[in-house]
Amino acid sequence: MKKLILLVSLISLIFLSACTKNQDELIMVTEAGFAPYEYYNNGEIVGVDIDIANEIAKELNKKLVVKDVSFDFVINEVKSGKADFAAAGISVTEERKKEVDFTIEYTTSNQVVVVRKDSPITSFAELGDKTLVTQLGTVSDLYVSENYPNANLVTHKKYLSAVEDVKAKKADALIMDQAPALEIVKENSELKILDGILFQDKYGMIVKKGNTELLNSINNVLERLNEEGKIEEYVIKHLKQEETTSSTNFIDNFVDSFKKTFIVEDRYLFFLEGLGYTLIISFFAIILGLFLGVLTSVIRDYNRETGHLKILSKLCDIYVYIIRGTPTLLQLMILYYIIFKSFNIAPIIIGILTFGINSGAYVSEIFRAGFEGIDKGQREASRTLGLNYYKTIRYVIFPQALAKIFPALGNEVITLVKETSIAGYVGIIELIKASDIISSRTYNYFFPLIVSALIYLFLTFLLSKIMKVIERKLNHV
Amino acid sequence: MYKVVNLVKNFDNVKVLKKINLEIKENEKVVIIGPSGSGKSTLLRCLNLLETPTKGYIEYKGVKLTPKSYKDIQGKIGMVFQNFCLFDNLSVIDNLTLAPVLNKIMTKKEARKQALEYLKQIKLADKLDAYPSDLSGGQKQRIAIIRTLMMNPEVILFDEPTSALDPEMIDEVLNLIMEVAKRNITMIVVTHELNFAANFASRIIFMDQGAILEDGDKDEVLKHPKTERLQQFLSKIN
Ligand SMILES: Nc1ncnc2c1ncn2[C@@H]1O[C@H](COP(=O)(O)OP(=O)(O)OP(=O)(O)O)[C@@H](O)[C@H]1O
Ligand SMILES: [Mg+2]
Repeated sequence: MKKLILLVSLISLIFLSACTKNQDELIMVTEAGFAPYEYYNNGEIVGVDIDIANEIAKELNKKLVVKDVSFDFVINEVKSGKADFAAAGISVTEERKKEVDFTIEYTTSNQVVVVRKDSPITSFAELGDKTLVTQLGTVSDLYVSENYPNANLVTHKKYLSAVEDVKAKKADALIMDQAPALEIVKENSELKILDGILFQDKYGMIVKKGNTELLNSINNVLERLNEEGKIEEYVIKHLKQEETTSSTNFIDNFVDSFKKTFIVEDRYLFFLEGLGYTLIISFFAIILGLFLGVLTSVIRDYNRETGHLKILSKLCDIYVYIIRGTPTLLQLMILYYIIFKSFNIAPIIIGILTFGINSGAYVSEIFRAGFEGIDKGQREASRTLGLNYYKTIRYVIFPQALAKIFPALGNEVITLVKETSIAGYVGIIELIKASDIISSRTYNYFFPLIVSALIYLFLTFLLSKIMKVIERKLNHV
Repeated sequence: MYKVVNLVKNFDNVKVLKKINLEIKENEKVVIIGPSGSGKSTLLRCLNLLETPTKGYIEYKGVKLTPKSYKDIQGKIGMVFQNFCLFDNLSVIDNLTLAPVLNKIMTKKEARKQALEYLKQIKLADKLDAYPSDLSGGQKQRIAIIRTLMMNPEVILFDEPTSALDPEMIDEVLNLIMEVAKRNITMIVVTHELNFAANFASRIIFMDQGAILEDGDKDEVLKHPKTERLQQFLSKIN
């Protein structure tokens, strides 16, 4: 009991300290996988947009904080007020103008077409009936639907996975920004860029609708930087990418990928950070999940046995029903954007809450099955010996159920650890996000992903070993 | 000790007990016999509220049995089950000491001492740390019996305590019940063992189709059955 109180107070402490919104901070949100505009360099988010944002912060006399979330979440971050503004290579569209206010356009992006070198496609005119891939939420998918209505359009969450589609001949061409496209063809010797620019696109920054004060400040800074030619300077500065060597030799390729993934810019640190967050979130979520699961399953059991606590038990049923009936990612978003909308809570806390609450429902069901699986004679014997409900559960039913359901509980723990991989959506650098960050710099999609997979495999292997040991103890053999 | 008044028990719409009236005196040794499905177990389980009466009521030592009053009795009405119901997660010694210690009848030390004494009496002292899954049926049932004794019960209800046993183990359990019978405890036993009933009981009750058909001194009931149903029942068993 004491330990429990300690844990609860510790968690609420983290919670509170994370809640205080700092008025001196200017929060910018982006997806940092879009060089030269925003990308990771030596563990820090840098790029054209960040240089501009720093100027804005200087103007406002505030400290710039850069938040890295999934691109599909960027607009939501601004709308919900979690971030002050966004700069993420966001194309200006009528649709988006309804949601947020755009600044003046501050940079022009040239959209090009990437194809395989052996592709028969030689001109834009031939794209009409092909399979085209783009990144979700960028303007290129709008352009394709309007100009190539007969093309088969596939949108990807990340342009790097879109690249893989083209390489694997699942798609014929990829439409994307010229700057990252240049990097991609450098890295992938089987790809090339079609001559010419398909269309031009303008990027703007966004603020929450009606926040004209910030909008004006940003516009002033953008105008000044434009006049001074600073933005072009920034672009040139950030285009200086590392040299890439494209070899056909497998060993050389491997060594090269290895170096780029781990050693250059100390990128292995991303994996360590990812592993750290994955472990922290998993650990606290498992504890929260066990607590909620046991609590709700006992309430439901108490109701079944005695008929008391009807309403509370119904609420537990509803909790289990809703959580099991909806995708975890949705729960994460609801917690992040709706329930904790106006709190500035560290995403990691929201991650722990989401996965803990989610796991609690499954744990509750596992225990329910466990309790129901115990012969009712055990309860009756306990009752005739004068033991009340609580003592019966505590000393007779729970230990037996626990031993029976332990393998199922182990499965749930492993599932939870793997499920934390969606925490990257709200900007937590867990293992998958770590590999995303690295591949956005190396333009190699699979190598970092496979490293992450191996780490997961190792984690789950370790977990199942630990489970086996505990299981043997529980069955007193 | 017990006064059962107009006791009716229905499961859904099946009438299992039909207006039972019964009185049991302190220290009486009662055997209940009857064909399968006649409601013997149900009657027994009403006596400690494992089943809630549909109509009528039961008085225990002059107090009406309700969930609330039952709480105050706290283990004074012990029960021995057909399938033993030892706590599978606990060793023999923990099975014996759990309830008296949690109910604060004894300290841990006292309970252990008492448990060891009982175990010696039934010659199972070496099974102290064994788990139920390591024991034979006869051993389990004998431990279940001394487990109820640990609570110093005023009544023990036995529901076919030997039905689930291999024939060679029946006697060791019945002998222990005979041993317990020497104590000042009211005992009500449902059984098909008529020889045992003849030795053990002071009174025998015959139930059929949810009603008590005969109730009296053991010789009277066993040797001079009045109803045809009991005559048939006895001839089938012998
Ligand atoms: N929980 C229950 N739900 C529904 N019906 C039940 C329940 N328990 C007992 N019954 C029914 O009540 C009737 C009497 O059952 P009971 O177990 O009391 O008989 P019994 O005399 O103990 O029989 P046996 O010698 O087979 O143990 C049976 O028809 C049985 O099917
Ligand atoms: Mg029965």
